Amino acid sequence: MNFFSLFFPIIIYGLLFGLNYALISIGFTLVFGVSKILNLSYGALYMTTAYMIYFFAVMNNLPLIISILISIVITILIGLAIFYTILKFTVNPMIFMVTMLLFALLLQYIYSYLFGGQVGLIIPSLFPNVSIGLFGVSINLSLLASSLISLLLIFLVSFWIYKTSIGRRIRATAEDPEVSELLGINTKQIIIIVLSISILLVSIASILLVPTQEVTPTMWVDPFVIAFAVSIIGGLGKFEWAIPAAFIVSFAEVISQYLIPYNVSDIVAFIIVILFIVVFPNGLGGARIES
Amino acid sequence: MSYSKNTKIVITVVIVVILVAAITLGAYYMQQSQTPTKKYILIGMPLPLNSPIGVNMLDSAQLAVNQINGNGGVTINGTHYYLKIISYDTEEADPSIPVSNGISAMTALITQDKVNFLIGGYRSDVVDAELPIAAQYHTIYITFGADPEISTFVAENYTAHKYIFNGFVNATNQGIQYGALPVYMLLAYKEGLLKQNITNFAILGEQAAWTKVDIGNGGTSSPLYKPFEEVGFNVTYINYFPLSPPGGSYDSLFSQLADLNTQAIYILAAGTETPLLVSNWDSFNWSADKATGGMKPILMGADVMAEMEGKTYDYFNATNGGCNGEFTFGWGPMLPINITNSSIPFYNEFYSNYSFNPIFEDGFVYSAIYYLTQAIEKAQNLSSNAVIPYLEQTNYSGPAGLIKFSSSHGLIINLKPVPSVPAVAMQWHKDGKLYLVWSSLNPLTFTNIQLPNGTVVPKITVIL
Repeated sequence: MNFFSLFFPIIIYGLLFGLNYALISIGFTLVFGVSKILNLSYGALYMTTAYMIYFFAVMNNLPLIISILISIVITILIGLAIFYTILKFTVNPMIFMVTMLLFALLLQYIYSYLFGGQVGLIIPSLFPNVSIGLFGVSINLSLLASSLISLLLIFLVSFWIYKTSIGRRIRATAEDPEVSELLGINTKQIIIIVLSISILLVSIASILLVPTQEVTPTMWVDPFVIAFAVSIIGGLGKFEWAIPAAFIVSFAEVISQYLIPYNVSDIVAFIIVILFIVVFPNGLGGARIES
Repeated sequence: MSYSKNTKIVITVVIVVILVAAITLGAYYMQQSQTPTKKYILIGMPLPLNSPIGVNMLDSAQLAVNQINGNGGVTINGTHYYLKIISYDTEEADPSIPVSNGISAMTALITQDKVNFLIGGYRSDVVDAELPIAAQYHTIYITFGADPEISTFVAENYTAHKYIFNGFVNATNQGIQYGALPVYMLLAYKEGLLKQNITNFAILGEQAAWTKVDIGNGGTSSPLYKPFEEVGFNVTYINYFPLSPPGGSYDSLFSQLADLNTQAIYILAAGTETPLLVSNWDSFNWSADKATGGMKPILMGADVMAEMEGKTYDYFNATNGGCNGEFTFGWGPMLPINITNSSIPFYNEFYSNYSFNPIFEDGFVYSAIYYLTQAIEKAQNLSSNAVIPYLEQTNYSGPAGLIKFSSSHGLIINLKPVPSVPAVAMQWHKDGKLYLVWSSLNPLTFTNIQLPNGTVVPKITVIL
């Protein structure tokens, strides 16, 4: 194995996977930024979109695009319903977050009941499942397309956050919600908008990534772990640092696969999170993790 | 006292009605008292029912139960018993589900449902966790894990653990027959099929208790490394594959294998992750890497999901047709094959009942119901302690082969003159169907092999 046989695959896969991880994670980070709450039902919303597409496109044979649009709307409604149902009963952040996790588990059992918990459910893809070669590296067109769409969405979200008036209000709310409120910013409205956008992003991630995998009741765990790891590494609520953090996770996973003889890629994200908590407890962006 | 004519008619009708009703009721109650209440032998089955694997296992057990009940059930000391299955879903086919589900299912079956015997189990780490519970409650548990530790558990304390029987071929014995297959198969490729010498093997195992026997710690220290090297193969890579691959894709793993000039991939997987692995194997652009010479490696091995063909779950669809060309190894009549006299009848009965093929465990589960019933009849007792001596003497010719237990309650596999429990291999073809291509009953002969170019070779015999 020569240098280039390692260099190109690591660079190409690290970049492609990192873009997808960034798409999965930025919504999670954004919500924490404005609400100071970790949306622990985030992975379950990723799963919701997948099951909805399965229901409409596969079980009821609706056209894929229509199924996708309906699934996104349903996922956003379910995500908002979970958030505001909990908010109606508690404002304690710890109880709030644990309840969100319980909702994720509830959705797991609901889908397991509704869809029989069967393995092997496949949803159709927008892109062909074929690969091309670049620098001697096989690149799946579906993976390439999802990465390019992720890149586009990251640019759009960045533009929205940094170049629009609503983006300024979001950043102000993230910086200091109380002062923002005093300045006349409707922070509740900002939270609804950011929450909807974050669910939209995770829905799109599901549409792009799940067709190459399977729809199962436990599929919510992997995207949740990635989003959580990226948020901790980037610094909680620091949207701009979520993107480099996503690349840290993806490159660490790919490099570990190539260079460590034992299979550790399932736990790499956890290891990096622990390392960051020990070495950079505030993450790359310097947000303080409160005790 | 005189009655009018009308009154007499009414009184007569009333008396007749009362008499008819009394006679009818009396006859009914007499019949009821003569009809004995059905008595049942309860068989508890902890199974991964969220997966087609567990559904298949339950179906094969139910098939045997229906046949036995249809023939009058079991007679113990003059009392007729019928068999009844109570099953719980352990979800264990999904590797991310903890073993605690299996433990809860076992405990509930024994303590709440009061089952007489237990048959089931699939994932080795789940089965390993269930064994002490069956032993603790002195309940026979015939299980189908492949971990050799099941027999070790019995051997290390026979008195306490004698309730455990391993009704399936353990990983060590599997390796003996599975190991021969790639040798013969690649000789067939070299001599007659491709005229190509295929030597570079990658071995991928799922992270599970049963694959530790073969994969070990990965690399050159792996138990499978030396046997493959000794028969002339060059093992380019041997390791576990991740359940959650980076980026949700196995492309980076296959990229490594391509760099290592891998010509054949041998997989060991019983979990639900292989459709993604196989789909990626199919879509990966092997020609992108010049080291392989553009050759897509031959994919073979024990891939349980790849045995599924039928209306409930179809692996060909699950992989989007990506499994075209994949070989999968297994046991028993998953397709019609004459292993014993009961193999083809079992296959036909199973298929006509369920409209899909049996999988590798099914012949063993079906047999377990029969040989357990035989042991109960011989013991004339429902106590596990009374049945065990007869179960230990099992000599049952079932659809998957001859079932006999060793002193540590593992299956005895005789290899000569022909394997008593033979391995079989099947291949997915481009028409979306599974074909039988090999069995260790006749190890030098291959039938219906589909070559990478899509051509099907009806028969080829390897000359050693």
